Amino acid sequence: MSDTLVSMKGLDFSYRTPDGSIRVLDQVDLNVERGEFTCILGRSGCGKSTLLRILAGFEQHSGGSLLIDGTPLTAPSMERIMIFQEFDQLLPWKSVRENLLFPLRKRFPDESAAQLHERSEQALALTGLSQAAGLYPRQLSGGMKQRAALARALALEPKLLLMDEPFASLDLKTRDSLQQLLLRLWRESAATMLFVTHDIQEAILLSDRLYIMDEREQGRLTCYENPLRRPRSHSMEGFKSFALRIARAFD
Amino acid sequence: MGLDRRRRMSIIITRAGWILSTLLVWQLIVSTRRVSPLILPSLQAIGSSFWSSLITGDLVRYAGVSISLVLAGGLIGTLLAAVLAVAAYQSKFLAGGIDTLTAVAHPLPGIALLPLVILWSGTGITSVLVIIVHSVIWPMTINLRSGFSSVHQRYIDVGRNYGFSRLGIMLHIMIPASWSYMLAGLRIAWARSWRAVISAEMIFGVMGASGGLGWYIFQRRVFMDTAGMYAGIAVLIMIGLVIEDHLFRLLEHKTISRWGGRQ
Ligand SMILES: Nc1ncnc2c1ncn2[C@@H]1O[C@H](COP(=O)(O)OP(=O)(O)O)[C@@H](O)[C@H]1O
Ligand SMILES: [Mg+2]
Repeated sequence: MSDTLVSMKGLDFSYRTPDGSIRVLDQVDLNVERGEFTCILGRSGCGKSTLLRILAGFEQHSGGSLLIDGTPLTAPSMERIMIFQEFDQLLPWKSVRENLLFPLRKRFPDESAAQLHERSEQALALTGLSQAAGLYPRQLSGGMKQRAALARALALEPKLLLMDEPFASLDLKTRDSLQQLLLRLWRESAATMLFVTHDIQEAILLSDRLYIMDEREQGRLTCYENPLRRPRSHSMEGFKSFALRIARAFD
Repeated sequence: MGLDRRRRMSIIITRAGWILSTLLVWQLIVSTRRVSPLILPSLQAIGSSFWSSLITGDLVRYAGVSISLVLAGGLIGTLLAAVLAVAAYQSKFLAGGIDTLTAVAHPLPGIALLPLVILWSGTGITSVLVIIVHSVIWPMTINLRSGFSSVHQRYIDVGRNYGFSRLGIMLHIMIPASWSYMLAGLRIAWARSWRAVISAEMIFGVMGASGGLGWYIFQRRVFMDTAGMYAGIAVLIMIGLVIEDHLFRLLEHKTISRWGGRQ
C-alpha cells in the first residue's frame, strides 16, 4: 500500500566508550520512499555516518523503531549496500572484476559462472570500467575506485543504496561526472538512494527529498521537498533560490 | 616488474661475486699446503664428493628428508597457529591465555626442548616434528595476531555487508587482508625450523628409512670425510639461498607487490 521503504521513528543511538556513552542520535525520524533519491545534509560530526551504519546493520540502535519494507532491521544484508567515502573499500587483493564477482557469487548462488560474469561485465560497462576490469585497486585513480564501488554495489541489485559522502574526496570535475553517472544509474535501476553529504549543491542537484541533520539536536532531521525538475544544472532557474533557502536553514 | 627482475639479477650477481672470491681465497690457502686437508680440503675434493653423492642420489635423498620434515611440521605448526590466532581474536578470555603461552614458549630455542621431547616421544620422527612445530607455531601466532588486528574495520564492514558469518569474514577478509603479516611469519618460521631440523637430525641420527641433511653432515665427520662434510654444508647453503632469496621473494612479488603496500 504505502511505498515507504525505510521507516524510522524515534531512533536513539549512543556509542559506548571507556569514558561512558556518547549520545549521537536522539529521537530521529526518517522516511525513505521507494525509488526516490533522498539526501541527508549535515556538518561533519553530526551523526550522518552513524545513521547509515545503523541502516546497514553494522550498529544496533538502542531505542525507537526501524522498519525496512515493514520488517524490523536485524542484521546486515545485501539488500542494503553501503558505499564509503574512503577510496580503500575495494578488496586490494582482488582485481576489479574479482571484487564484483566475489559478492555476486554469494548474492546469486544458483547462477552459472557465465551468468555471474555477464552481470559483472555489464556493471563494469555501465560505469565505464570495462578496460579496468583486470586491474588491481591500487592501479586505479580515486574516481575509478568510487566508480568500481558503485558498480559492485549496483551489480548486487540492492533495494537500498547507502552512500556516505562517496564523492567528498574527489576533485570537482570528477565529482561532477560521478554525480551525473549516479543519476543515470539510478534512473536505469530500481534502487532507492540514500545519499549523505555535507555539500548543499550536491544535495540539491541529486535529491528528490532532502533532510537537514541538526548537530545541536542529536541528529534531528528536518525534511525539504526538492522543487527542481530534472535534468538539473547549477545554472538552472530556481537552483540558487532553493540553495539559499537550504543554506539559511543549514546555519 | 622490469625493475624487480633487474633487482633480482643484481642480487644474484652480487652473491655470485662474493662467493667466487671467497672460493678463490680458499683455494689459494689450500695451495700453500700449510693447512691440513682434514680442516680445509681442496675445492676439487669437495666438488668430487658433492658430485659422487649427487650421482648416487644420497645428497638429494638426505636433503629431501629434511625439507619434507620442515614442510610437514611447518604445515602442522601453521594450522595450529591459525587456530590459536583465531581463538584469541574471537575471545578476550582466551587471548589472555594465548598471550601468556606465547610469551613463555616463544623465546625457548627448540633445541633446548630436546631432552624433554626425547623423554616424551623418544628419538623418532615425532620428536623432530614436535621441535619443528614449536619453532613455527609461536612466530606464526604472533604474526597472525598482529595481522588480524591491523585489518581495517572498513574491510570487515564490507564482509558483513555481504552477509558473511564470523567464519566467512575470517576466511574471506581477515586472512587475505593480513597476508603480508603471514608471509613475514612464514619467513621467520622457515628460518627457525630449518635450523632446528638440521640440529635435531645431528642428535637423532637416522629416523625411519633415511637420515636428513644434518645427519649426513654429522656422519661425514665421523668418517673424517671433511670434503663430504663441506659438500653437505654447501647444499645447506644452497637450499637456504634458494628459499630465502628466491622463493619468498617470488611469493611476495606475486602477492603483496601486486596488491600494493597498504591493506
Ligand atoms: N566508534 C565511535 N566511538 C565513539 N564515538 C564515535 C564513534 N564514531 C563516531 N563517533 C562520534 O559520533 C559523532 C557522530 O559521528 P559520525 O556519525 O561519524 O558523524 P558524521 O558522519 O556526520 O561526520 C561524532 O561526534 C563522533 O566523534
Ligand atoms: Mg561521516
